[in-house]
Amino acid sequence: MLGAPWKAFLDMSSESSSQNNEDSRKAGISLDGFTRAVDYLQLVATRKAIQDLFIKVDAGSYPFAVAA
Amino acid sequence: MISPEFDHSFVRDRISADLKARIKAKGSTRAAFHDLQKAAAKTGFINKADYVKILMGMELAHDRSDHAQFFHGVQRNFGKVEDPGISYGSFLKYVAAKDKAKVQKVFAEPETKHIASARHDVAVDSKAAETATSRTNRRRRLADQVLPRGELIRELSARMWKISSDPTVVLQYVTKAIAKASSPTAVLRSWRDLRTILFKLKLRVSDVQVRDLMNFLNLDATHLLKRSGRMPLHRFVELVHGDACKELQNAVDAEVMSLKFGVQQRDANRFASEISDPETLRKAIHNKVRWLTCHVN
Repeated sequence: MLGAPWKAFLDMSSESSSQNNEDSRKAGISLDGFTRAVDYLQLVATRKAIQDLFIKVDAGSYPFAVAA
Repeated sequence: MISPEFDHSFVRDRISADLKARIKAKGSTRAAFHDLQKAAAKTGFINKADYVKILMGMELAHDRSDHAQFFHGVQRNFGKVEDPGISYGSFLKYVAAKDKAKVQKVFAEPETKHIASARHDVAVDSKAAETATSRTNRRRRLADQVLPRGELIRELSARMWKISSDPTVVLQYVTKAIAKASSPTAVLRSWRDLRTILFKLKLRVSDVQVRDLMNFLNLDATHLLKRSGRMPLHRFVELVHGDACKELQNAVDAEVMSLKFGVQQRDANRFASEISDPETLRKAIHNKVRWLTCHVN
């Protein structure tokens, strides 16, 4: 069960992908959405770090449920 | 129908020129306008019918309508409404007006509305310039006198305290200041009412300041939102004469400080050292989300 901040994080990530956040969460998030979500958390990271992490998450290395 | 532009018309100029030519040809005004003089000798006035008949007899290149217009021009500029016609002197003045009598006409009959002279135009221009200057001076005076809102409220409060230390007396004074005979009111209907009160208390401030003050006084101290409806006068007096305004100011100051702190915090985060490692970023996200979870849930 994801907490409210994670939901907000995922909603922020998938905001531009689709109008229906629930559907987009299932479908996945884009790099832009992920970058926006990092920014939402007020974390300052290099673009490369965000890209690398996004690729790892995308590959299933760090599922959000595990990270949470 | 008399055309108001007739005084400046081509026809008027042509009739004047023809009559002047006639004077020149006959050698004197007396010889040129003997019949008119004779018609005026009976009552002191020449009526319109006689005038038109005599002028048509002079065989100038104008019709009855032109002469009638000229007659009304004389009457309008030199006569009175109740006069039965025009005087011989007025007629001569009007004929000569084009060249030399315009200035005299301005000074002799300042109440005349149909004055057409350069002097008149200059007078109007200078008056407009004077008004513009006084407006500019007023604006400058107001600009020099711009008080911060806090000081304005303190000044307003001090002047209210000078009236009386009793809020009821001040309320009566304020009510009287904005009351109109037809509709006595107990509310500030708009910022204009507030301006009236300020002016009554001899505080000359710009409209922008008045509106700003009005918006400030309309705020709700708890939520800092604009109150709905019009402000009752007793609340206005309570705010300015009493201490309620200080509470409102404190609430606004606190809100401003929190906003400033929020901006500082955001800037601090923005300029923090960047995370360049994906693993560090993952941990940072993890920690941040956990922190948020603790504080939100």
